[in-house]
Amino acid sequence: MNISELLEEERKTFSTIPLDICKYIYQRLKSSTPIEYSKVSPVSLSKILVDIHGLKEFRELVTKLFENLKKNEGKYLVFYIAPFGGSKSQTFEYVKEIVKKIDSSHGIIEFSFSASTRIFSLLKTIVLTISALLLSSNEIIESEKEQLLEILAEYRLAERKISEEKEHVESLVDEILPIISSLIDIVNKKSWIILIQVDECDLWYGNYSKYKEFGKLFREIYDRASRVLYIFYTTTEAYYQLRKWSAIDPFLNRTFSGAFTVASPGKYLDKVSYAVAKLAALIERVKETKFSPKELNLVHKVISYKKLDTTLDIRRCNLMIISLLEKIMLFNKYKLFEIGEEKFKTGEGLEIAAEGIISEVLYRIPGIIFIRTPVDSAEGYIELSKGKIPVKIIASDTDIEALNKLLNKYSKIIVINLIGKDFSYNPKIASLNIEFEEILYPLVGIICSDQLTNSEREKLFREYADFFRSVTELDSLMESEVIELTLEEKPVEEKIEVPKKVEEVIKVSKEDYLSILLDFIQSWRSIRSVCKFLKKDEKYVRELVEKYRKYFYIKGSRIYRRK
Amino acid sequence: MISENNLIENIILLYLLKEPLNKKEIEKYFSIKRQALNSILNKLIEENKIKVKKVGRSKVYWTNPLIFAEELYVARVIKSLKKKRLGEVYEALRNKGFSENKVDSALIVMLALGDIQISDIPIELSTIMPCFYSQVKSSGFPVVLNYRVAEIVSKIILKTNISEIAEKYPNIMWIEADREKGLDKGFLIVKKPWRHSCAIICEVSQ
Repeated sequence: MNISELLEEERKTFSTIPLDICKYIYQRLKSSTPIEYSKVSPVSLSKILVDIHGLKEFRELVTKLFENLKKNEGKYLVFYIAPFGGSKSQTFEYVKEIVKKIDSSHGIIEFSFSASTRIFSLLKTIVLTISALLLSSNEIIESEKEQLLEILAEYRLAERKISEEKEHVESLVDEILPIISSLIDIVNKKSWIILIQVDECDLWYGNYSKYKEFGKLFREIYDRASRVLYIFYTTTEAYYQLRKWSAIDPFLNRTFSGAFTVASPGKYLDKVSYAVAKLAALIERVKETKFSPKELNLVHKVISYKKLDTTLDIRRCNLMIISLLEKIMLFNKYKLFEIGEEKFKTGEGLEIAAEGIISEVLYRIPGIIFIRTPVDSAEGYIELSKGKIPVKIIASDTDIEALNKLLNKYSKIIVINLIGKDFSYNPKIASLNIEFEEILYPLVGIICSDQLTNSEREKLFREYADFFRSVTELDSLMESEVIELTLEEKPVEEKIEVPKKVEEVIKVSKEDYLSILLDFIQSWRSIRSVCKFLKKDEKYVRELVEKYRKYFYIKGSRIYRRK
Repeated sequence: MISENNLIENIILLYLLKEPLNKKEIEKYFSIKRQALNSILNKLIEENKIKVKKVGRSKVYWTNPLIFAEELYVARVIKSLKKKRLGEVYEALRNKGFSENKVDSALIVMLALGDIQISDIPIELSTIMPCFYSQVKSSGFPVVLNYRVAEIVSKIILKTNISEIAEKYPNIMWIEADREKGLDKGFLIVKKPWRHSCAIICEVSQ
């Protein structure tokens, strides 16, 4: 099935799901928090979201272990291993749901918590939950009730002692553990099952002292309880860390060798097109919008180009898909794709896009300091921690000629390649390839649309800058060692003349600032950034703006260029 | 963490179980340095896992099948069951008191010996499975390995990068980078390749 057929299918599915549930799922996905199954029931999560790999296997295992524990005594440890952004927390939620569905005639005491939980509050919860469950149970006999009340009295004393003496964590645990043991003795008589689920075990990674007190609690329960199931959710690294600790930790030492492991790759595997279609259908339902097959294909292409379809990180992939779809939704509101496509059809698009990237996009990308150069054939330079690196945009053959000249001058150049030319042959060129023409449409749309107000245009430029950053490999290019290493070998400041020229120009008299400002302020700049750029104080800059009021004006803390 | 020599040991043992080999023949299978191979062979001899005998001018290595006694016994039971559905095989053996890990390690031995084929298992995976024999025996699937070690062994045995195989079979194995040290300290996770296979095909008649 192609992506538009998939979307059609998903639209049908989502139309049957209540809007409230759709909104809930959408919010959870956007905030990267696990979906609580009870909130979406009776709708099955696998129907509306991509299945988690390994979940079936895990469900079978957990159900089997519960069945065993109902019949016989037993102690089990299960590791659910999945990478970051995989499926751990979602599976953690799922187990809570499994527990709810298990025949209530058999008591299950569930403790589901994150490794970040404070040990004292956990101990408190355990004591209070077990005693509350026992006291409210019909099965409890009078003598047990008395015993229980005695234990609770002991707990109150311990609690008081702790609050008075403000003892260390170790002694807190030692104080409460005997109380928990006594409670478990009663639980054992009822043949109840204790389930301990620990999410985010990675938080213990590299910090045994953080884990140690939990380990003591786990061991106490493991030794005392006759029916207990532990489920730990970890990444592979943390799993290995726990394996190493099994040599020194009494709980892991006795449980690790017999532990069950279920591993899940977390990734979408071949299902990324389903994910795009499902998320698009979800957004359509929540935001009352419609995506075209073309737009979905673009999202799919970007996801594949950025290799997110093969990443292990479902969370990142989901967020990227949602963010792209929402950007497209925003651009669609102003029909920017259509305007841009028209311009590309008439052949003007590429040039407008090239100019737009330089004058409107690059400097709006947060974290990237891009300064446009008024002179020189490079369009500007990007400031890095170790120096400055010129940027050249390639949209035509003339640009390639200009680039060849620049190559003699600089040790490294960032090329923004709009025409798909291969520059990999030249180690001096760090090329940022714009793989799909479609991603330039909205930019051309923003520039050419005559329906936009200044503030709308500004907002859209900012949104586009963010879009540009996420659909290209800009971040990885900026982080790539190629740039850093070259700069280390040859300090670019010595080689690049552009900044020097700027510095020189800055020293000239007031009259000559106009061209610099015209180049620097394409749309608007904050007064602060202009001060920084010119290395002058605010008063001086305000005087300059006053002088060139024909070209600029100040509004708030920004200097705007008159159109 | 398991070493590459340990993985190669597993393979050598299973190859020798199939047929005795002289050093040249072993070298042909594993393009590793002679010194490394010698040390692996000497270690196996010391541990009494393999034996060596001079035949003519060359030394011939063979294994002591007793070290595989359990697997060979389970394999015999599997064959005697005359059942081809994997689910039934697991169930029947569980009823006889064999754990899943034992059945899996026996299946690996049988795969290495060429006694059986399991439906839907690609040849690359069947070839690489013997590496994991000792881990599957001790802790079962999924096998978690040091990525670098897996890479080296894959190059030796399959003459290809493990990442290529992992990309080909994302349901079976995948690579996870270490959050701080990257791929160099990453992991390869291998799940049971025959989890979703339905049948085994016994090649050798009893």
